Amino acid sequence: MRNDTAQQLDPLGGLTARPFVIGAVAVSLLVSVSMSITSASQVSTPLLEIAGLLALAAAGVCFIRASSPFRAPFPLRAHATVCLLALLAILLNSLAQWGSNEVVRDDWGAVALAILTLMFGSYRPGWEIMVCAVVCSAVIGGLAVAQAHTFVADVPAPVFGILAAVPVLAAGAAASTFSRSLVGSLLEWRSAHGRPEASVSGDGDDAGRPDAARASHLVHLSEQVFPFLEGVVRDPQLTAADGDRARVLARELRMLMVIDAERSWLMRLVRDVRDPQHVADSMGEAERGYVRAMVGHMRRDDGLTDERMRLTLHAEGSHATCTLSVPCAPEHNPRVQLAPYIAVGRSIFDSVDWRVERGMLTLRLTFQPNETRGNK
Amino acid sequence: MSLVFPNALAAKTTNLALARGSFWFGTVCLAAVFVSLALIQADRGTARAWLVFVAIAMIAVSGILVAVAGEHRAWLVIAAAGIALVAITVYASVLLPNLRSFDSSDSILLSLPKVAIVVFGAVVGRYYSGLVGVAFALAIAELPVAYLSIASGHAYGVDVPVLACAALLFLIIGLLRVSRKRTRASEPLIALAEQQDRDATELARAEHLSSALVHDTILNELAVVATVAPGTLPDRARAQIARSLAMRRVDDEHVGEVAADVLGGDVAAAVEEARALGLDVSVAGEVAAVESLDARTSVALGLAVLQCLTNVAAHARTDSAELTIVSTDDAVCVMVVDFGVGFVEAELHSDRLGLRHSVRGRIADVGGSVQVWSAPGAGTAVSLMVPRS
Repeated sequence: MRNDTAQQLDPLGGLTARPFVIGAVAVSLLVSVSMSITSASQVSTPLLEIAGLLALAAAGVCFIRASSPFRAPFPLRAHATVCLLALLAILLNSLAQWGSNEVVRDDWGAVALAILTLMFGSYRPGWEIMVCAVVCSAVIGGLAVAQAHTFVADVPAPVFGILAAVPVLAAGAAASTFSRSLVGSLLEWRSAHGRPEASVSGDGDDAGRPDAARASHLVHLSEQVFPFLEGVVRDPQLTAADGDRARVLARELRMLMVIDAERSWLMRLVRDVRDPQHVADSMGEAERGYVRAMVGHMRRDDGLTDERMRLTLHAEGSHATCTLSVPCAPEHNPRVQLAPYIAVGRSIFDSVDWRVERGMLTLRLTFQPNETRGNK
Repeated sequence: MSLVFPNALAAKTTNLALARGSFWFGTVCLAAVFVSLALIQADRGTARAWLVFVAIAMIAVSGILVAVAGEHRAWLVIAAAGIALVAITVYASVLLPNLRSFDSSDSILLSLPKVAIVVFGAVVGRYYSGLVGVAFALAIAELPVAYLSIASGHAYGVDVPVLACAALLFLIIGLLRVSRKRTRASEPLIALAEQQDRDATELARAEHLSSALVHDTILNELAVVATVAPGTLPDRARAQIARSLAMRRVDDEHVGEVAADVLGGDVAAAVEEARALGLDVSVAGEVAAVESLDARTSVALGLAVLQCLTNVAAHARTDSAELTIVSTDDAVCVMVVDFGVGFVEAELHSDRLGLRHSVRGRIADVGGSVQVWSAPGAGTAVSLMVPRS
């Protein structure tokens, strides 16, 4: 069974789905409260009904919390918790009406869980959603069959079970198919286009361009050495000063070549880099691309002082840390703009933490250096 | 691995996933009502309403037609709409007389097929507007049932599940674009950063090649100018400087070709160069194996061998070196051995760039590897392994 989720393969898709999660939780609560009021005459124990609504609200809060880009990826534990809390709500709703429930279709529990289930498609694997939906449907159907003797409709008891379970079962099938379809499309794209074209041209946008992409020895060559040697070729009459100049140029060139050889890609991106262990050289392609994107984002953010950006890298054992810090204006809240980057980062790095403290935005990325990991 | 999925594809794949999910939602609703009616009929021991099963099957067929519509999709979608209209009309006509008199048009047994038709409308979103599909499907599902309910003496009831499904689909389809636009704004910038990383890697590789070339040529020319006595520069040295300048100035993509021109581009040329320096170089092994290398690898190997031999001449305090060539199906290995003074690589001064740039860097650039065995007083052996083309 494939455990890939659409959110892991496309973190921005998970971010797109989040407003729908919030909407689904709101709608499910609204529907539940409305149905609870309209079928109040069938409720024999109001306290249990209220407890059921509270359990549903807790499931909703858990769902919204777990779908946050700052907590990505959405874990199995959260899926199970949401389903269990919703099932608890369904159980409490049934107990509240036990012995007085006349109509199966006005029980809000199954409808509320169905609405929530529809939203799992972006976050969890298809098989897992289907298994959860089948288990929940069985519980809902069982509760309906157990109350069959109180329903007014004259149909066989299993029909109540089927009709009660169908919203969750249908929503589970839909969300499961949605998940499998998205994951399939994403994996197909990855295998076919591992290296996509950038959606915008690099021309005219130098936000992520390295400050000193051109190695200094090449600049020295074209500005100092070549003109000197061309002069020598043009006029082969050498003086003692020419000999001295050649010695100085050779020494400078050699020194700059050594500096360039020692300089990592990161030092060309950000001026203030502290990387005594050369950890930058052990970052993978995705990690490098992400740091570039983040630096580019910080440079574009007017609330951040990018001239004072600092990158610190440190490795200890099989783990390394890349800390990016940049001064942040007091009135500026970078959270919303950072959200997509955090979501993407959490699919690449072992952990991504950020905080704003004493006017400084600090982003901490942990990862396994290339030398210490297998195929991640 | 790429960091983000392109926005251009996100809408297409989400629409496809939504359409597939909607199809299965409707199918489960139809299956549930089919089984429920079968259980009810079995319980009542009557076969009067068998046409409802045909109608349910027809609605399922309409869903399948919309889902698989390919080349003639417009006609298939129209046919599916027609089939769904006929099917829901037949279904309601047959079922309504069997319902209790107080049951209205929103009875759950009527709702489920209507929900199925509405969500099948969303499947149309694969090809056309999902919003129009859902609206049209809602009309197909609701109007005949409402009319037949009233006509047969049953009350009309607003079908909340059907309307809720339609409203939910409207919201999802409508808001998806807005949400996507808001949350995926960073995608082009992240993709651009990836592109820049690839460009920077390529630039670093080019600079690395340039460094090796500078080490082999320009530094030598500066050394010549620095060491000759004041006066006229010898013609040979002047020609060599001009040649180095010309070689350095060619475009990066032609660096290898020019180097091949100048140095012979292979191990044999390197050996000749080293012999010209006064080094006695003996060659053994599968000499022909180097012929199987592609031009780029051959040039890189030749320059690396030349650097090794130059190092022997300059630092090993010996006037002889041995070259042994062995090959496998996948790789060619050239071993440069001398019995000079040897060294400890870690203790080499940081400005000794020859081994780093001209040997290790060059061989790594063509996918090969370098191993150095050396110890003070015990000579040096350098193994240069490069892949066959």
